[in-house]
Amino acid sequence: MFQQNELITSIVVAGILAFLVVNWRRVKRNPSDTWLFVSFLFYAVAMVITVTEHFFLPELSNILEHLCLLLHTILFTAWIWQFTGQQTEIRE
Amino acid sequence: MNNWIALTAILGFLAGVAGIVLLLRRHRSPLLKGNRLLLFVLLLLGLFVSVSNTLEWTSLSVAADHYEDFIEIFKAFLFGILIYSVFQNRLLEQVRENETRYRGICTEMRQSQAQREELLHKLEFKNRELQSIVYIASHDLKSPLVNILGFNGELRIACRKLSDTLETLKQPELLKAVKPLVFDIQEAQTFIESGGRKMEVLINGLLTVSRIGTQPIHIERVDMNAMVESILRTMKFQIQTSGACMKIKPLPDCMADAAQINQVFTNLTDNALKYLDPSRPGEITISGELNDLSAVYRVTDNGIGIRKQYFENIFEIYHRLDPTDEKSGQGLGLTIVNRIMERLNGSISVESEYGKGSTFIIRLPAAV
Repeated sequence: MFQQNELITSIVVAGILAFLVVNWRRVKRNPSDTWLFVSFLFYAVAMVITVTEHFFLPELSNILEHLCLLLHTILFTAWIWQFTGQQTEIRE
Repeated sequence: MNNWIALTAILGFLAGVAGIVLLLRRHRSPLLKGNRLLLFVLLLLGLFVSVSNTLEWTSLSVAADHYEDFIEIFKAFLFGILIYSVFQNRLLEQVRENETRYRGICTEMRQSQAQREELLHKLEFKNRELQSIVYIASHDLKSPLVNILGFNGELRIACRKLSDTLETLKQPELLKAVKPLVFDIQEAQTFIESGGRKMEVLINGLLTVSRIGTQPIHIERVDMNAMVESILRTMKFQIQTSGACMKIKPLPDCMADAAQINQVFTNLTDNALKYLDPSRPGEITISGELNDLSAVYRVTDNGIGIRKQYFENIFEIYHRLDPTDEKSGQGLGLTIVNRIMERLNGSISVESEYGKGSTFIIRLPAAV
């Protein structure tokens, strides 16, 4: 059975996803932010897998969950790199 | 399987550390304002989860695993705040960008407006200058012309006297020698006379047109029915002579200068009478209607009509459809009408079918 905290996290993540979908037209205007949103997407997938791993393929799901979290962190760092770099270019 | 998880955890840890280092190196970036702490906390939470997973794999400690669940909820919240904050910042950027663009457009508009006003002033000044030049030139040209015509008359009389004297002297030799000269002089005088008269007509026309531009305007409510009735009374002789049938429909009042509007309708009626088709009974109709805030009047005749290619030219000064035709006048009537309409904020247009008749349409501000 899944845990309560996993469900809460999934609900929060779903809320943020809904926000992104509703505002997608405005969000996609800035290509540099795409990495942040994709990073969040991986995080969201990881959270979904955390819930679903209780029902099927627990071991594979667990690996996939951690893989998604890894990609999420890498993309998040990449976004910070691009985000702050871009600003430096503008300032120059 | 656990080894794969550990590998992702270690790599995730390294990526998180890289993110923190990056953030520390570029912490002065103005775009990070308000988000620095949030990013640090998010990266630290990610590090905590990675460390917890690694420790779990090495079986050194599972204590951190208890906190991991709560950290994930917390992280999800923080992530949401970050996304919202970034989104808001981007919106603000757009707003600022639009504001800058808007200010630029406003400045450009102000500059163009100033340029336009300056040009308008220059144009107004040049126009006034031109009008006064036309007036002065035509006025000053008149007096030498009067002298030319006057002395030409004197010359003619002198010539006639000379001719008579030669006749009475009864000297055939002298008469034979001088007569051709007298004939040449008289012929030249005829040319001077006709040229001078033509010039007089042109100068008078110029004076009339230039005077229209300088006459003061008194805008008032004009009772068009009464005005047209009075015009027709004045032109009764011409109407009767032409045998035309005049039809006057009820006309709405307008806001205009009564004297100048009188001139407009007199000229239009006069034109309609002049260009009636002799092959059929003439019929001239003056009608009017209100159209929004304008009073629209129509002077329609069943005369000879105007060819389409002359629609623009007929309002030009001295333009005559048939310069050889005596009745076509000086070519000033419609020019005067056009000038008056311009001054009264009105307009004039023409609709015509050659051989069937013409309609002149006058638009003026309606009386409120």
